[in-house]
Amino acid sequence: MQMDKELVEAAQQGDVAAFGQLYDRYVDKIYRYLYLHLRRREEAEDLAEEVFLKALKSLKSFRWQGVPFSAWLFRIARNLLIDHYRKGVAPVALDEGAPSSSPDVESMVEDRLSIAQVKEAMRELTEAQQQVIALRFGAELSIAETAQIMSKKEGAIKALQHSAVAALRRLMASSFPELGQISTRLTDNEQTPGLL
Amino acid sequence: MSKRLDSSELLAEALDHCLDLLAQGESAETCLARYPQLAEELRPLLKSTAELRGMASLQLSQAAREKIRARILHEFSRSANRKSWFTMGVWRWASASAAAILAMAVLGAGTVRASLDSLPGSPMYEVKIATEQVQLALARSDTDRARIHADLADKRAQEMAAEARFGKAKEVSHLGNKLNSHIERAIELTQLAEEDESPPRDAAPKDYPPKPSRLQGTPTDGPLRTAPTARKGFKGPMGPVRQTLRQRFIIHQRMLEAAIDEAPPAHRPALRKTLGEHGLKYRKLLEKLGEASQEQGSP
Repeated sequence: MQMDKELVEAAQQGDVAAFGQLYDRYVDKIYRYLYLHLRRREEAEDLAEEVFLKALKSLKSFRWQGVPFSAWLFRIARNLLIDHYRKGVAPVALDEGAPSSSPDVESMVEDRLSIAQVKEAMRELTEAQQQVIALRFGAELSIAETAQIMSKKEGAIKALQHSAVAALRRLMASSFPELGQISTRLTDNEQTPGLL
Repeated sequence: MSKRLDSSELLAEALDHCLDLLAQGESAETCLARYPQLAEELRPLLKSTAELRGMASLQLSQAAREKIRARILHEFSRSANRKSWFTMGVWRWASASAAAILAMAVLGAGTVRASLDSLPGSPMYEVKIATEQVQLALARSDTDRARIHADLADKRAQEMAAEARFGKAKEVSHLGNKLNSHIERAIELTQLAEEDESPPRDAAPKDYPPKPSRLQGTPTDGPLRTAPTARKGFKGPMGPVRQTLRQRFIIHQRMLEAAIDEAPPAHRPALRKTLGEHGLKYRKLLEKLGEASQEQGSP
């Protein structure tokens, strides 16, 4: 598999196939990152397209100076998200446009928390915590990449990750008490296999 | 206070380390065993991250992925067209033009014509390549560029045949890569041109494709054997380019088989292997063209 650097340089020289490969490599990650913030599938799709169009327009100015292409791309995504919020786009209701989940709490617990529930809980996090969750777990970026995108030190990202996960756990347990009880019970039982 | 901060930092480090281990396929219990003093706090956190890690299964729908891909690559192509004249490609164009003009000025137009039959390694080959770059840089549409790439693939095939006759498997392989690159680019440009909503503007000249008259030892007239699926997608502005790509595949195959028969016997096995590998890729690329044609509902 070609490295990002080779593909970016080829794309900068006008190689459309190289840019196509970069698109294939990152489109799902970008989409997940946006979807976790926007909640609505169509909005995330539109913004994902904007991210790549913006990247295309700015591609010539991209230089390999310590910032990987992925970080550059996610910075574009982040800036577009900020612009999107500035336009006053109101958050949509939970599950609107999202994959439907079972209304039955028991089966919901059995199937683990749905993405929609995670996203609902994420709304209560700070902006920085949301960013870390979306970049680390949505886009599957490393601590180093996340740190570059957010212009923070790796230690700060780890701390944010910890606080965000802990906050999410509390929020989800309070929103879904049945789940909280089951989770607590399971947590207390160290012998229970296959929980994690 | 500082002790609390330290323990918090330790937990953050341990959590991150455990996430790395889980991503590498380790079990949560293995990870917790590494941090016995933090296990009680880590366990519920790791349980929550199991849900978060599940988010990685979210994917863009295939339809949305293809729609966005087509839009972006189309935009890329348009952008490349503009830039080839004004910014990005100007230096490449200028250098290619300068090389060709310099060659014509110093050596004369006859020399440039003579370079058309040159092979890699020859000083004239640089002139040939520079001239090709000028052709590409001057092309005004995706249709033109697709046609030129198809023609350049034809040239590479002729060069492969010439080198094969001398038993030069390494050179043949290098040219095979170039040939397939031209084919791939021609197909991409064909597909891009077909996605354009105003195809008449890019309509190919009626006299296209030209007969591959410079092919040696291969049939240039008469009916060509084409697979049933190859007959799809020959109408419309890009139809002639599609037809040319398919027909020339057969011509190239025959020409290269003939060249191997003329090669020194000791070199034939290596040549067959090399040509077989490149031929396979060539065939796969053309299959892609057929699929695209069917997807787009071409007649």
